[in-house]
Formats: sequence, C-alpha cells, structure tokens
Amino acid sequence: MRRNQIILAVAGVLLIALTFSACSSGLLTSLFPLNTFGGIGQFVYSANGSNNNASGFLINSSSGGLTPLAGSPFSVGGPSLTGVATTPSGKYVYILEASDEIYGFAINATTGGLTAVPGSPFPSGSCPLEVAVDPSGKFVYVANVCSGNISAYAINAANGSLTPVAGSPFTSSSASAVAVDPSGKFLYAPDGGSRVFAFAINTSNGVLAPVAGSPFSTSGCELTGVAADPSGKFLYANDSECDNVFAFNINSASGALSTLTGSPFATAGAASVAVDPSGKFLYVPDGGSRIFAYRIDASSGALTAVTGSPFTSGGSGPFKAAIDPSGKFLFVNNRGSDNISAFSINTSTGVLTPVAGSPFASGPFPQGIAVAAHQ
Amino acid sequence: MRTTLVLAGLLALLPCSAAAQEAPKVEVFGGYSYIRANPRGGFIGSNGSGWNASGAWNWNKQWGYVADFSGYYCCKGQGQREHNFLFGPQFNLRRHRTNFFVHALIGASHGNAPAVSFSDTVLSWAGGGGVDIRWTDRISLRVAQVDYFGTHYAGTPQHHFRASAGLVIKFGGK
Repeated sequence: MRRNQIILAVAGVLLIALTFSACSSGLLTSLFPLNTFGGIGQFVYSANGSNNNASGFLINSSSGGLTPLAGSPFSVGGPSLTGVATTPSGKYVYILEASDEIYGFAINATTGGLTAVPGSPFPSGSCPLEVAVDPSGKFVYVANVCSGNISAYAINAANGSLTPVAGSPFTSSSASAVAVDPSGKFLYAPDGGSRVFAFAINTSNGVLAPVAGSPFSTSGCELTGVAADPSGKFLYANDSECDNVFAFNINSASGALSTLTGSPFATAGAASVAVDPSGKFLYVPDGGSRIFAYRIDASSGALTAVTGSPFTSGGSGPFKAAIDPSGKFLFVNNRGSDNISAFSINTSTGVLTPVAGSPFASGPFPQGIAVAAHQ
Repeated sequence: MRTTLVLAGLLALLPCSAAAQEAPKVEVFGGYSYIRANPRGGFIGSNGSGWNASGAWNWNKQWGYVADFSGYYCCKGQGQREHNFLFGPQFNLRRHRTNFFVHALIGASHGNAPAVSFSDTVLSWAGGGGVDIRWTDRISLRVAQVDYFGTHYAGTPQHHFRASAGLVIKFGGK
C-alpha cells in the first residue's frame, strides 16, 4: 500500500510538472534577458491594411523563421495601413495610414516592441502609399498617390519625431512609390502610369529639386514600385498592369535615367520590386502566388531569370518583398492569405527556399513590410 | 479509556517511526526538472523543461556537500538552453522512510540562445529543499525538490523557481 502511495505521489508531481512544462512559444519569452549584447536581433514589421495594427516578428538568424514579438500586433491607429519603412539604424519604424498620416515608433532593441515617437502621428499628403528613409537615416519621404506629391520630413535622431522639410510636399503627380538611391543624392517616384519622377536630394536639409529631364517616360502601363541597386548604377520599376520590369541606368552625377538595353523585362505579374543587399538579385512578387527572381548583370544591369524562377510564395497575393541586411532571407507579405512567407536566399544562385514554418500568420491584409536592422 | 490507550500506543510507536534512517556515504539523484524563469529586462517569463542531477557526499547523518547540475530548454523556435553548476552544503533530517533536506548552493549558469547569438556565463545560486521517500535500501524516490533559483545576467539579478523529481541511488552507509 505504501509503495503504491509513493508511485501515486511521484506520478502526481510529474503530472503537475508536465502541466507547467509546455514549451513557451509565440511570444518573446525567454529564460534570460537577451540584452547582454547590443542589437540582439532583427525584426520584421508588417503593416496590416484592415486592422489598424502592425505585426512584429523576431527573425531567427539561423533559420529565417519568424516568431511573433511580445505585444504584437501593435496598435497603430486609423482605418487602413499602407507602407512601412525602418531607419538604417534599426531604431525607428514609420508606418503610413491612409487617412493622411504617418506614424512613427521607436523600436526596442531588446524586445522589438514599439513606442510612439513624440508628436506621432504626423500629417502627410493625401493617400500616402509608400514610405522610404534615406541611407543616412536623416530624412523620410512619403509618396502621396492622391495629392500627387512627395512629403519630406527630417528625422530627429534623438527621438525619431518628424519635422516637415522646407518646401514639402514636392510635386510629382500621383506618386505611387518612392525610393532613394544608395548615395542618398537622388529620389525616384513612379507616377502609377508610365513615368518615373526623379529628384535631387539636398543632403543637408532634405529638400527635393527635380532632376533635369524628369519625369522620365517609358512604354509602361502602371509603374507602381521602384528600387535602386546597392551600387547606385541601376533603377528598376515594376509595371503591375502590363507585367514588366523597366530598368534604367542612373547617371551618378545628375540622377538622370536612361533606359537599359533589353528593358523592359517581361514577367507574368509584377506587384513590386526588391533588390538584395549584394545587388546580385532582383525579386518581383507577382501579386498572385509566385515570386519572380532575376540575376542582375553587374555591368549592364540586365536581368536574367534565376534557375527555378518563379518560386511559389506559399501564400496568396504576394505583394511586397523585404530582404534582411545580411541578404540571407527574403520576406513577402501575402495580402490574400494574411501571412508572411519567408525564404532563405542562396547567395550564389538567388534561388529561394521556403524556411521551416513558412508562411507565418500576420494580421489581415498585410500591405507593407520592412526589416529592422540590428541596432 | 480505550482512547487513552490508543493514544498511548501511538505515542509509544512514535520514537520507532521517527527513528533516523542510516545515512549513505553518497547519494546520486537524477530526474526531471521544471523551471519558471523570470528573466526581467522586458522579456516575458517562460516555462522551461529539462533535467536535474546531483551528487551528495555525506559527512554524517545530518550534513553533506552537494554538487548540483541542471539543464533547461525553452522557447519554441529559439532553441534557448541553460546549464547550471551549483555547489554547497545540505542538511538532512532523516527519518525511517523519509529524508527531508534543505540546501544552499552557489555556482554558475551558462545561457545560450543561438537564434539571437546570445551566450553568457554568470553567477547563480539556489536555496531550497525537498523530500526523499525510501523505496528500497538503495533507492529512494525524490518526490519533490523545490528551489528558489537566482541568476545574474546583464548585471542584474533574476529570480526563478524550479522543481525537480526523480530517483536517488544510495551508496555506502553509516
């Protein structure tokens, strides 16, 4: 009888222990505070178009898998979120809200949590669709598709708050996207039609001045996205209606664009464009279910399809792509299936391989996506 | 009258049931362990599972010296792990079939979270106790060992709770 009682007692203890021992998961739980080292992790933020909040994830630096951050999704405000961008320092993230506002948040380097910067939200132009931060981290630029202009702000380095640049907003005609070249000297904004507007940036105060010859016309139908390669030599713009990628040479002195030989390069769907940090590959989510991948010729900028392209996104409606600064992982928000697809990038071939667990659930209708670098 | 006799009989039995058991020279424990970690620093507390093993060298029936080792694993998708190495004295209150013990331990912990390139070795300590129930002359069941467990990551103390259970194998005797 005593032996049976002992067995029952031990079983009871083990059962209680097993009840408590379910692995902690999903949140940024931890056995120890992971802030011994500066810049403990990289984060991905996705602006949810239907839920007034942003989903945040920790990137597993080994696998590329995503773990939801503690406190995610983070309340942002407003009826519909669009674009999202982070500063090169990884300290701040800016999220657009369709009611003509830009929200700024400071990123907690340890937890990835978001805290509104002083004065947030800041007024933008009408229908802000895309946002970009210049490479110096000093200025934010917003493409306002309805008011047809570019809002420009100076970033307070101490707290991330935004102050409009003198002369902002700058006229561009229905700007659907915005990108700053790696030198920080030029800004490019497709107009949602067939033209790309180009501006020279005053690197002291952020003021924009039209580049001679701007806007630059193409034979395109609906240019909705733009990206410059890290060398600053080439610019790519996706045509989401006629399924092309237009490619340009960038004049490093003037910022003027000239069409690359072979442009446009045909895809079968082109919702956006993204260039990897090495400048070797270009990725084009098609808005359906696939991601087109191209190798960039380092001399000419011409595009050739990566072996195996297009790659299945794993979700529905892949819209925007964000690549981590190491160039190892690519993340795509799937607007139709409310999740984020994650891929490892073969840095030699550009081939995409889904990471374990991909896609990862986000909020509804994720519109914008950005990676925050290590602080 | 009858009640008085029964009570007297129980009292008469008490010295026998409370008679101290012999103290083995060495007691080796191994079993399952659970930790409720409270990392602080903005992180959320977590439940970890793992193991606990110890060796106790007994000077006499009451006092011994313990070397305690444990490992905990946590946090899906992050592959966090912590290994602890603690040492210190242990006091035993041995009865016929049970041993109640308390200990105070100090040593080091090594934490590792490869997903975020975290690795650190810090001071750690523990205080607590438990109860072993004799199964055979050589084997006891540690039905519970509970400890306050402290670590010192990032220059500040963290305070955790851990509980273990398992088997104790006894060697030698006094």
